[in-house]
Amino acid sequence: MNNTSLPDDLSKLYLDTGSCLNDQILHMTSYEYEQSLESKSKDEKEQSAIQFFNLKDRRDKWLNAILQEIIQNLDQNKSKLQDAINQVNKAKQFIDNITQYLQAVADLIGIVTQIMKLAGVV
Amino acid sequence: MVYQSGATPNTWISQLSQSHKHRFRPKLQIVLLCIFVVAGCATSNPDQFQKFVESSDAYAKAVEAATTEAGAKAIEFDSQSLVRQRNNLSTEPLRARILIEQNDNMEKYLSLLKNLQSQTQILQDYFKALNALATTSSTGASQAAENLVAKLGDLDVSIKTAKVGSMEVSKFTGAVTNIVVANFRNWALQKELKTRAPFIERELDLQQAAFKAISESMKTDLQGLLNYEMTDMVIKSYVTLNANLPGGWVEARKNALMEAPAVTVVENASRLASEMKLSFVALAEGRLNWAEMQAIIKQAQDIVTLVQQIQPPKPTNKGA
Repeated sequence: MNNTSLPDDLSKLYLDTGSCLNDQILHMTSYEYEQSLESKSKDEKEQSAIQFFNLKDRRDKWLNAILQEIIQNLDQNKSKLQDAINQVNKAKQFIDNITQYLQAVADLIGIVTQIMKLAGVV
Repeated sequence: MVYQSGATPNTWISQLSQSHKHRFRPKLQIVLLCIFVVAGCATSNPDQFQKFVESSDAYAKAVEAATTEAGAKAIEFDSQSLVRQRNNLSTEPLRARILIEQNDNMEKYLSLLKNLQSQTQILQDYFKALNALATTSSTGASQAAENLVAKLGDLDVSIKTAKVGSMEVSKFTGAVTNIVVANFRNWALQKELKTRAPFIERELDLQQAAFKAISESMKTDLQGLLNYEMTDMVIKSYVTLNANLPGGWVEARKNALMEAPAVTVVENASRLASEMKLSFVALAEGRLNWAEMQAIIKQAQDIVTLVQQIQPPKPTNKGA
């Protein structure tokens, strides 16, 4: 799956493979299916149970593989997202710094004024 | 202008303020008009960001609730199936193989769901940072600039009383600082959105895709649980001859036939991811709709409420 087509492809891939597995699993949980096993031998019941878990295993692995693929894509974006957060924080910091800088200069001028007053200059 | 040689600081500050007084007066109305227009533009965006962050916060909570519920239902269906099929698996190695296999799948699934939650959290952090920038007050800098001029005024009274048109220098400086800071803030936000919008859109797109996959499987898990419930609590008790129907049979049948609310939860979460994506694009393009934001917050809150209301289905013990 490539980065630009993943979401669009996903539904088709999932419909083609995942839905087919899901349908079969669901069929095996139905009352009708369980009834059809009543008259079967012990071996046949075991084979049916194994088949059920094989299908479920395939379905679970399929779902995990798809999620893994998506999360890998998201992981690739993680550092970019962190960079973005840093950039935004820097811009905010810049504004905060301007405020602090202006205030510091004002405080400094206040001190200088006091000194000048004490010295009788102003 | 050329300052007189030998002039003291007091004199040239006075000259400067007097000179600016004359130069600025004719243009004052234009300057003030610009101030109000630009300041007006600068304050229109922060509310949008604030609202968007509120909705993304609600979205993050909904994602957490929906994925937690998806994991819980997957385990429930898995466990019910293991219980149901246990007697059909005749050997210990076979039982062990299947149980371990199912455990591995479930553990991996739960870890992936957790991962998805943490991805949503990072996205949420980004939106919070944007909001912090958008709502950063420029009045602090403006106040500091006013203070600066006031302190300068202590050196020379003339600067304290100097006016640009009808406006005191200190107020004028504060207003200009306010505009510069607000414009920088807006510029930084716009630049950020312009650069990052396609990337964020893609991020939300991927989340939507993940929900699509999760909801398809969750539907099967839930329907499987309902099938078991239908078989044990509804059909078998109904068809058995010479036996009374158990109390609560009507309710059990209704529950087994009606669509499980948990399916709605994940389907809604998937739709929500798509709407978040569209809202982010709207935010980036400066056309965010207030009503749509409210609707998103409501939908996200509904998901969380729905998850809280979901009752676990009655356990079936066949084959245990």
